[in-house]
Amino acid sequence: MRRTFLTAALAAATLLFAPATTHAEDAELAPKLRAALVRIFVTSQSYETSAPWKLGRAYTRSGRGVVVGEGQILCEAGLVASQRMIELQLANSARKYPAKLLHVDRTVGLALIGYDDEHLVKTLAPLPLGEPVKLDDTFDIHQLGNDNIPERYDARVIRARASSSGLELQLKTTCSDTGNGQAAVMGGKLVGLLTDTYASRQQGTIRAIESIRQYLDDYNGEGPYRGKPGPGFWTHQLLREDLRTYYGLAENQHGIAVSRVVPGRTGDGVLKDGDVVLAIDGFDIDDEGKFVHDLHGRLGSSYLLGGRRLAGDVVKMKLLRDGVETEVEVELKGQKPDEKRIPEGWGAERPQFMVVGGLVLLELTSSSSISRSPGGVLLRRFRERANWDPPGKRRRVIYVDRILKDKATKGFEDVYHRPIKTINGIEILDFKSVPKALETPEGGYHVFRFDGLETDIVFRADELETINKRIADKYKVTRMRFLRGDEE
Amino acid sequence: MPNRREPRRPGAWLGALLAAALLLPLPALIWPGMPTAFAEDEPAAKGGAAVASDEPDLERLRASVVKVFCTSQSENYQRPWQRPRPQGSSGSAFYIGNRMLMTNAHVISDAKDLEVKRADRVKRYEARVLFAGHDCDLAVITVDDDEFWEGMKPLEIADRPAMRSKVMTIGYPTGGHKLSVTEGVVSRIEVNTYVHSGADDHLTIQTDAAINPGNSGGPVLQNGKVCGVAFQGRMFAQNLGYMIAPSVIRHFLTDIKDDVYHGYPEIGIYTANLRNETLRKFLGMPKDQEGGVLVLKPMPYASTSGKLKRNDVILKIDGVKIEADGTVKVGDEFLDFSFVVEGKQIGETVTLTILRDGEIKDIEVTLKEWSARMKPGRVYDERPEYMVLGGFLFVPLTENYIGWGRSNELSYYMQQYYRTVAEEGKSREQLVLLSRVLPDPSTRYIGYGDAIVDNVDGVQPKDFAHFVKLIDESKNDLIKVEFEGVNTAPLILDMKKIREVHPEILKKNEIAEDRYVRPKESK
Repeated sequence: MRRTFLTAALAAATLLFAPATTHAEDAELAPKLRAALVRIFVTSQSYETSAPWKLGRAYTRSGRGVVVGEGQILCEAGLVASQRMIELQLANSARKYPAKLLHVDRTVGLALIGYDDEHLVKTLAPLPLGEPVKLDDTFDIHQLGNDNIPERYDARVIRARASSSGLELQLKTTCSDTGNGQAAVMGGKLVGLLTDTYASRQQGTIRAIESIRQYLDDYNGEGPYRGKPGPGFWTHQLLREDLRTYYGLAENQHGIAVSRVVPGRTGDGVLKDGDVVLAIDGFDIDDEGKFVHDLHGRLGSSYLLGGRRLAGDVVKMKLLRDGVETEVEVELKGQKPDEKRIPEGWGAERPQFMVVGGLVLLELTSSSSISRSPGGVLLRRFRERANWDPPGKRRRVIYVDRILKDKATKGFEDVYHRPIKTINGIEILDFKSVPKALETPEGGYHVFRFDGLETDIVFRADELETINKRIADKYKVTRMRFLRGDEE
Repeated sequence: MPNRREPRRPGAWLGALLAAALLLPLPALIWPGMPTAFAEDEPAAKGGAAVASDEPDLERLRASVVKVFCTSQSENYQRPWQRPRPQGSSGSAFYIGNRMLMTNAHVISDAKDLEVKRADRVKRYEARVLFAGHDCDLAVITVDDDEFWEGMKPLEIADRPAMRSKVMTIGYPTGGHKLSVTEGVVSRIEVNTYVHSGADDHLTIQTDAAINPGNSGGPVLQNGKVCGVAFQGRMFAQNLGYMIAPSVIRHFLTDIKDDVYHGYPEIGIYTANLRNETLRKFLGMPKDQEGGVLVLKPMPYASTSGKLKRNDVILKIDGVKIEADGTVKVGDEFLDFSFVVEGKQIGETVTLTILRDGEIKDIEVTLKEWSARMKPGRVYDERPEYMVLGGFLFVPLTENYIGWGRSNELSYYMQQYYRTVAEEGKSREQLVLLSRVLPDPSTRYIGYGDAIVDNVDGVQPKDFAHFVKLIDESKNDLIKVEFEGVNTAPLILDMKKIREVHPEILKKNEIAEDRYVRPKESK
């Protein structure tokens, strides 16, 4: 009781001594902002990469968010990585309230946090979404600063940058705090979310309202979440005169060449190697692969294919094929996380792993740290080519991260970062195929074969259980495997 | 550090590169930025301390151990039509009879001017290289002036010194100009990487006698005989100097008897250890069968190519048992089994006793020279191959191109290529690169370099000469060159335009010759 009282007193004092505002509308806006801005505290903890049966140290970081809908707070995706607990603080208050993660899209770079605490439901109110801002527009950046006192900074758009994940605007801004979820506000409405600041250059980056609106509509819309299209076909620029001649472009024709269409992905069956993309959705593509956006100027064409689109959308393309201009329609294919050949590996989820005969088996992810050993070079190559090779039979790459030294692994001390090709003659296509392959030993032995030039590793089938037990005891391996579907 | 013994050669590159960062050959380099000046010795003073009877006579050494002054000019692999500025360095050499002075290959590599000076004379004599073995870092030089040889007595080559026996290094190390003598004991005998080429492993003898830059090529003496040639040191270590073992010296001297240096033969096997009991059982090795190394792959174009296969176990080499860690017992020492091959010359044979499919049999292998294009390691005294085509520079991918001790994506790629992809008769012997583009309007918008050529109009070049031939003999006006990797756009060579701008680009960049392609090995 006493603490609440003190907080209220502090809040009142703060209000009393708050500096006079310069904008006329500020007086009207201030309470709205106080109800929409929050501080977010994320406590995260992930499993140790080298000992995946163990949880690592927990740590807490803080960021900011904006209430954008009933019970929905928008924040940056990176903030909630590996989260185990989320807490909120409100303007002019020190009290922490519980909250939970609703959704995160790492491609888009945005996340939504939900809350049902009574006080929060009563106090917080969404900030309305504004219209797109363009080059040279000025607006304010609002945040809860030290002691959660609302602060306001100036900002002006200096550049637009688009990618397949959305639209970003670069700002000149006086905000020098770490950019992480501050609200860009114009005319009392949200026009962007600050994701980066470069204090020394007085610059920052916001996710543009177009991308925010699309994300919210996708999440709140009917039907399942669609997300961004997955990787598609590869192109290259046609700036060089000899390339233009080779592709048979006339003087007034401009575009980019399709260099590889990956089977099963966007463009497969419609586009061909050697096609030149002249226009997408009516926007002319130049020889560098860019187009001119009505509002934001020259942007990369990936914005037309991914940045402003969702999976399942259909785009119209004008192509030059064998010297003739043709129109085609291309469906932008989505990619579910489990379809990715190299999954993201930075969640708080328990990673898939197995400890077999002292070999620590892991799945190759985008965050696996991989050495320059001969096997490591192969693993890097798998990762680099993940969006290049067709999504063939080998859905995932399983590798021996390292060995736990034991008399069973004697002689294999150097084993480190080796992709597994087969176990007992059975191809390892994903983690599920590992226990399956271990069911059928080869003449009384379990035989591990690797990609590249490596020695085979073998165990006597009838000894494996004993070895596993010995390893578990010796190295205190509290859990010998976790594959998706196993009990947590 | 990875177990350097498995696999051998190209696989050991990583190890070699790591070693290159630590091991240093020792010419007393006049580092760039410092004045190139060789101070003259004082005229020889008579006398000196009395020496024990089994010690070499110092007066004799002052005549037989000479200082080498070398001005070398290496090659510029990034701009292969020009050479970097000459560099001065010095080393040591000693008389081995027959008007021959022995020194290290790295003391005289890429030499443009060579002089030698006796400690007991003032005059420097012009010298020239007779034989250079860059794979064993030994060379023989001579002086044409008869006067130089007066009163010189050859030093004899001794046997391998025993561990802990006393040795004496003689030479002209940094820190002064006169002959220097240091003493120590033999502290280790081991097969080690010779960093001059970076890819050859031979026997080395380690001593705590001070070996410093400038000692290179100087003799290490025991009882007045040469028991080693000082040649490399190690960074971040103290009292560690390395000398070339007498067996390597003898191998070199035998090799040059026919007036040509051929180099070491290569047995060419990637191996792994067989310390794991279960693996031994799995391979069908009898319980009482000890030792042996596991064959992972014979190297393409190597002596054992086609004769050995994966999972063969080599039990003996020339009747000598191989231990489970891949060593053989030589005297009191366990040395890498390649030591047995070390004693042999190209064309000689070696008998491998192998276990294959449960049967023991002998295989005779005729030892071959490395295929020049597959041989890893740096080369010297050779012009780099290149082709300038308009504003485009194409080169073969070599370790010289990658550079000394550098380990970048290219070197990992090369290592991986030879190790796992290369197959005799099927794959390329050499990788070809678009090294860079020269500034010119015709090369505008080319934002990449060091791109590995995949094909020329659909044909994969086997080696650099083949690549040049594909371009030269193409009748197409537009030649399409595609590269390996995801993001590199193809290059369309507009030959008409290239022919037009070619002379102008050569002139602008002061390129006297637009290409150098080494003539095919005459075999």
